[in-house]
Amino acid sequence: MTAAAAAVDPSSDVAVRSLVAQASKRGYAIAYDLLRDRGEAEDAVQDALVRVIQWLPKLRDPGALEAWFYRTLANGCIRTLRRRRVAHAFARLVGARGEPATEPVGGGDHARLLAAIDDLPAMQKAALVLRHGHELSVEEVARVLDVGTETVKTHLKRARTRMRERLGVP
Amino acid sequence: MTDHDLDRTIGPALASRRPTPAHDFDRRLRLAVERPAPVRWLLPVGLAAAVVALAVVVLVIGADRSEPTPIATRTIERVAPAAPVPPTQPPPALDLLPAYQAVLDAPDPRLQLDAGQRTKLRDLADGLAKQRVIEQAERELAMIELRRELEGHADPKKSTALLARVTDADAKLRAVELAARMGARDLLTTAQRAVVDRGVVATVATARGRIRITSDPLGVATTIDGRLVGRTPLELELVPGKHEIRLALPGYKTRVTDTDLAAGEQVAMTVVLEKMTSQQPPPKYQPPTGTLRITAFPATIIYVDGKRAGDTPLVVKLAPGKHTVMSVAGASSRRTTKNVTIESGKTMTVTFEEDLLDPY
Repeated sequence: MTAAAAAVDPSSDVAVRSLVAQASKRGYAIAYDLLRDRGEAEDAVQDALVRVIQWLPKLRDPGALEAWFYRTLANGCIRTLRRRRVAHAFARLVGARGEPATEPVGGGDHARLLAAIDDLPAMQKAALVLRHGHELSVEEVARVLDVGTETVKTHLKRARTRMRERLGVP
Repeated sequence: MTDHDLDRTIGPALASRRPTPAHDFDRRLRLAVERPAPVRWLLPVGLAAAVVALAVVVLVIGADRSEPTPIATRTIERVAPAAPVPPTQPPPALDLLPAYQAVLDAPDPRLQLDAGQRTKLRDLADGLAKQRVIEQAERELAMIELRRELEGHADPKKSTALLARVTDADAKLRAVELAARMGARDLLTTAQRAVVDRGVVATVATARGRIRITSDPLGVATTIDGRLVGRTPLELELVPGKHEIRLALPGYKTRVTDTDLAAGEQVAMTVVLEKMTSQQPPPKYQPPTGTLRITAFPATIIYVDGKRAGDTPLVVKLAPGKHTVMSVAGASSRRTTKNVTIESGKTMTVTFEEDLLDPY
């Protein structure tokens, strides 16, 4: 994350305004890349923001505000992805035609790549999107996902293998 | 393609398909985190405002009271996607006896099933039906819980566990069906088996016949073999054999017709109902019933033939014949199944007693 967050006082409105600005751009981008649904992404950002702001007075480390927001956001998105997977399995089981999991991606190479990313388990997808979609370092991804760096590397490796299988790339 | 190449394509791919958020998204976020002014600034202003307000209240009785600004407001509440109302039963099972009869009774009298084989096949089919009731009940319970879970804010772990319970019940049922089929096959002689091997696949695929019933007038309540199946026009699948079809509509004479349906056969029938004269009031059709009284200690949930009938103590009217009664204890979820035979006009009593000292 950036050093900008560390410089602000979380009890001031400046910190909140800065966080809102971050959330509406980068937070939304991360949430959308994970959920691939504009409405759900906006809600996830708002949920995470409200949650973080409500606990703001109890925050001991001012520098942790931004990281805390992204961790809350990622957790919310992962929870939604898992819930969605169960809901779709349920719909398949009862033979109902459920809504598509994500917004249609159209045709072309990007579409195939995005379909392969959407097919990944929630944690692998989160690790991949944060690391290669948003240029976070492995350590930063580990902090956001609240796991170890080795776990992040494992998720990334498995995600790549799975994507190669799905894309038919040797 | 190297890992590096693959990684490099991810960012542009994601960015290329990412729509911008709604035009009022910024405003929505600002509103969501809107907070009252800091306390140290608010205190003197608040005190002054309070004094002024007190003075106004004293002067004007009945002044308006305004609600404080909420710290955070969620503008949109999204819920998990509503689960569709599902068919809660897995596909119908193959009835072993008619399936084998359809193959063996037709070609050669020497290959027909003898009395002993018929009895054993019937026993196998009964055992399969009982197991089916148990697994269906388990499946239904899990489905109810799962649907309730998905309608709220579902906990993924709990939903997954419930989903596993449903699929486990299906898997158990398939395993039991397979075992029953293998058991049934073991009962056959070599010659019978040879015939079955040639014909059973086709029989299984087309084990049922299809019947289409229309009537004049339409919308007539139709029962097949004493079971209400709906109103005309109807199209349904039936096991091969003879069936009694009864069409009844108030103000019209009831029509009863028999049909002999072969496996894979498609039958269409149109039944014309004759209007009654005003002197003849329509007779009310009352199917024969018996009464089943069910008690349990402690109280349990009762399923009759796989369908929830209610909590004990319970009195239900049932058609004459064999029925399966399952008791599910609320606290331990212990299931106990009993078979009863109901006779028309008579009352049977079934009692379930849980051994409270049994740790289960």
